[in-house]
Amino acid sequence: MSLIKNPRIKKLEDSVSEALKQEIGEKKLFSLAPFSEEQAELTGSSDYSYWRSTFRAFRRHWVAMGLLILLLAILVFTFVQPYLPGQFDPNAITNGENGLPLKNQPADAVHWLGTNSIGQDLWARVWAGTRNSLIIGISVALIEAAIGILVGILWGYVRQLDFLLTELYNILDNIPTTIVLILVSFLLRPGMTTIIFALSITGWIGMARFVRNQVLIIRDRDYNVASRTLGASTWRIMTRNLLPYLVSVIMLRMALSIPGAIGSEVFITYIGLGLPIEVCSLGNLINEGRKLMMSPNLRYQLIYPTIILSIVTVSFYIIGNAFSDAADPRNHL
Amino acid sequence: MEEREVILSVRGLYVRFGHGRNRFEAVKNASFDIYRGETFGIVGESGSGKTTIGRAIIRVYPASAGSIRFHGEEITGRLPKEKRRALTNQIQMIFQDPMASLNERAKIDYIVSEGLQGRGIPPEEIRERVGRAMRDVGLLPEFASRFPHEFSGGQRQRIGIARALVMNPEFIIADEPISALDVSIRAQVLNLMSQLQKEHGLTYLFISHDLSVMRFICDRIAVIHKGTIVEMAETEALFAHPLHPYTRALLSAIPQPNPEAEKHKTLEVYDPTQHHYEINVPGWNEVEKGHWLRANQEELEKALAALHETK
Amino acid sequence: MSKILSVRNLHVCFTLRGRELHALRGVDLDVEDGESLAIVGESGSGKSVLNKNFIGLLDQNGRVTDGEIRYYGMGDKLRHYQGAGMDENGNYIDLAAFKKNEDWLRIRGSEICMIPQDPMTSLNPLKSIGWQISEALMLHRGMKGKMAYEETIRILEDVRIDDPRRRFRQYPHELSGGMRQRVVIAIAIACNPRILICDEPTTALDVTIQAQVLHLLRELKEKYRLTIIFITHDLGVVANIADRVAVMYAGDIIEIGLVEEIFYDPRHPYTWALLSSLPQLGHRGEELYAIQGTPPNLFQQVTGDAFAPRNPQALVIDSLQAPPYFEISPTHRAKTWLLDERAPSLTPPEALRKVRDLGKATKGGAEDGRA
Repeated sequence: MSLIKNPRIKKLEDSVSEALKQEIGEKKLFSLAPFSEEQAELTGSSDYSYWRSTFRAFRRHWVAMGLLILLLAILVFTFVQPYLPGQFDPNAITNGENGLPLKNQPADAVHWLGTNSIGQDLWARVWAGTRNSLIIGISVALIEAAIGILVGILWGYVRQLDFLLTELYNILDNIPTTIVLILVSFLLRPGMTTIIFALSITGWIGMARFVRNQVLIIRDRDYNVASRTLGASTWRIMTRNLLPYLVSVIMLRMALSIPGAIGSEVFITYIGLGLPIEVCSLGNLINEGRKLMMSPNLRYQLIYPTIILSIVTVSFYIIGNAFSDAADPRNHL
Repeated sequence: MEEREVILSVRGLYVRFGHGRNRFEAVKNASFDIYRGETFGIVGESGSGKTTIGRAIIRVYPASAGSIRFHGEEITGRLPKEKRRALTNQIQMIFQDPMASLNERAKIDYIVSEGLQGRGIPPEEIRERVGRAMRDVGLLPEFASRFPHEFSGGQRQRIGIARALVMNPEFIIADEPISALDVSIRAQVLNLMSQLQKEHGLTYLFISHDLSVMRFICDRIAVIHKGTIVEMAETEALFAHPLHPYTRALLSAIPQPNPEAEKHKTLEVYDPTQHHYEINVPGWNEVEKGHWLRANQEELEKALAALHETK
Repeated sequence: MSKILSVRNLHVCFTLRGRELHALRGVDLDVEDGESLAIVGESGSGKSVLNKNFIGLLDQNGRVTDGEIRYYGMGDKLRHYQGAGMDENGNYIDLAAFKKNEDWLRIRGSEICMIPQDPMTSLNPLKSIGWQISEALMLHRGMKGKMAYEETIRILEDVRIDDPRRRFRQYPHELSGGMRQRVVIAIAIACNPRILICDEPTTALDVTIQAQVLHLLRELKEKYRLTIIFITHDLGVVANIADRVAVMYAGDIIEIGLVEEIFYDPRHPYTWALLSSLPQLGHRGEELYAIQGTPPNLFQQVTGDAFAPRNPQALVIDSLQAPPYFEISPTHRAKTWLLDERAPSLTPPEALRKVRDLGKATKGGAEDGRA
């Protein structure tokens, strides 16, 4: 689309101008025109909208868009799947005609992904596992964000707290997260809430530090100094001035902490402190499948959960990064 | 000669930043008075401390030493909450960069009303005062529901002025209010500031590096160099008889819209080492009525002699 | 004097959020060899965009949609020139025809050099200033070792940096803003260009330093026989350094002439308004002359004179048809219908008479002094 006129259009415009000029008459043409102050004010206002430009920039990233759609489809499906016809309960053991459990069956028309070593339907287990892992991941991300943002903003903005919280951070950061995870899982009974709790209490620190650094960058900008001179309370500045600026960076960080939490869950299960076997999760599935890795015809029990884990994890990373690029005003061309 | 009322009185102000080895003295021993209804200017180059003085008066930076009195009452140091709140209704600030001084994520009506929020003022009154402030600065009422990015630099600066005005202050500190604006917009904003001064009886502290603007708008000017005020006088007296070598260097450097003058101009350069202040400590002296100079004994005598000649 | 650069009907468009911004709308400009040309305009006038076209640094979403930029400065080197953009007769190179960055390599630096606005960010903080100047010598003049070092010292002296042998080893952060700008100028001089483009080089500097840098540029221009194109919004700076002035508004040059003509006899209402709104010409207690409104939105088509909506003295024809250039003198022309013989004669604002009187007074005084 170019503003350089098509020569035919330009000729047309010129002839219209000519016609107008003939009509108006030379004397009037060269007389003073009426002047409107409002007309002068109207020219030149920008229609830039931050979020509109962000989404437009994100849409251009077609890989991320595709993965976003895929991820949403997976998310929806994990919740819809149990209600579809012909689905097995993930914990139910199917028995064959001989009355014995159908162990280690490869994929067929009934069991779409086959069965595991106890006779449970793998398809149902994979989707149940994905559902639980996603619940863990998203819950952890939300809790981390809630605590981390609150602490981070206070840490960055209130100068008196800076020293105290920095020291606290230095101590907490040096405690290996693995040890905390092991300790918490050991002390409390294994379960979904335990693991969510364990992952959250180690994760909020990183978010707090990140938010604090962002706040330090913007806290002395003129608009915040202005708010202080107007007598705005610290709470008001934190919620109306700082938080809106941090939304995009916080969303990025959350997008990356979800796969992190899911991965941590896999790891904990691996070392035996994860969810109990009755609660299906990708960690459990991968753990079980790992034991069968060596036999080629049973390998599928490892491969299917790994595929889903990879898709979910990689999607979150790519979407998160694409969103962060799109949210940068310099890319809003 | 009528006695003019002193609205702000600064004595021996020091503002220091950092501790230990990083200690930096931005303002050293600044003393001046500002009278009600006038426009008092502080001119200096970057890093001279002029912005710091403004921010110390409005209590964004704490004063390290010295006193600042507003209507005779001390406003440095810790103050009770009611006093602080009362001050926000008396002293306000206009900022330099219209692109950075407005909250991009908030609407104009919130931005202008920000100082009135959280004080138990009913929303209708807030709306009414905001509307009045916006009209005073020439902004159309429909602008209230828009965001800052939809406006030009000059309009944004007017929003900043409305924000300060809505508090009904008597004293406004204008920190380089037009430096970041286009040349043709500067005149608009300067005219607006003059008009508001007449309408609302405001007193301005005008901080800038641009002496041509200050000559037009200020009644009295103080010249500051590396944290120290070196000369202070009524505007025309300063331009007619600049006594301090730094003031003279500053004046000779101002670009004039006059090609003949510019092409043949000789620059005066200021050399701080010429003073030899270790031998003879300088003081702050009134060389003639209303004209103050930082000089030691020797320089003072020279200055008085020079003044005498021109009379 | 011969032409060194000739811009013809230059149109530049930017694609921004799916829409087209017509930033330059048919700019015509001739630059004479050895002159000092100032391009004055406010934000949105297109002066920086025009500038960037001379050195191939147009933003990624911008492109030249029409017109030429003819560079005549290569002289004998044209015979060996292998790159793009040369015309059939081998007289000039059309810079607007360059498509790739490689095309610019022979021009940028060795022929046309730019001094950007902010000296803080245009120097490499990790290398000493001496190294950065020597690097320019190595790249553009093939000097090495001792020769490069001695030449660097000589250039540092030329830009009036004291104690050059000690400063050679210093890093940018150890120098003040004014000195950093001198180093940037030194790097540009080291390339030995024909044209030096200065993009608001003194805007970020204090007024005393600014005066010194302008003085330095004038000196260097004489010594190295440079052509200087100076972009600014500050009319005082223009008065100091320019031989000729081009005034830009909304992507077009609306008036161009010798500096005396522009200051003492301006003809375009925008130039009038610009000069009149200077605080130096105001009287305390009175209102300053202020132009209403804001510059036009160049996303939209401009019909007629772009300044008309803000001009209280606009003619009816101004909103219908864009004016052509009217010649006031061989060196002075302006795009305004007021210069048409059919237009009413309007007197320029009072404030401008003051400028003229000041000029006459200075000239008279200088002549008396010399007599």
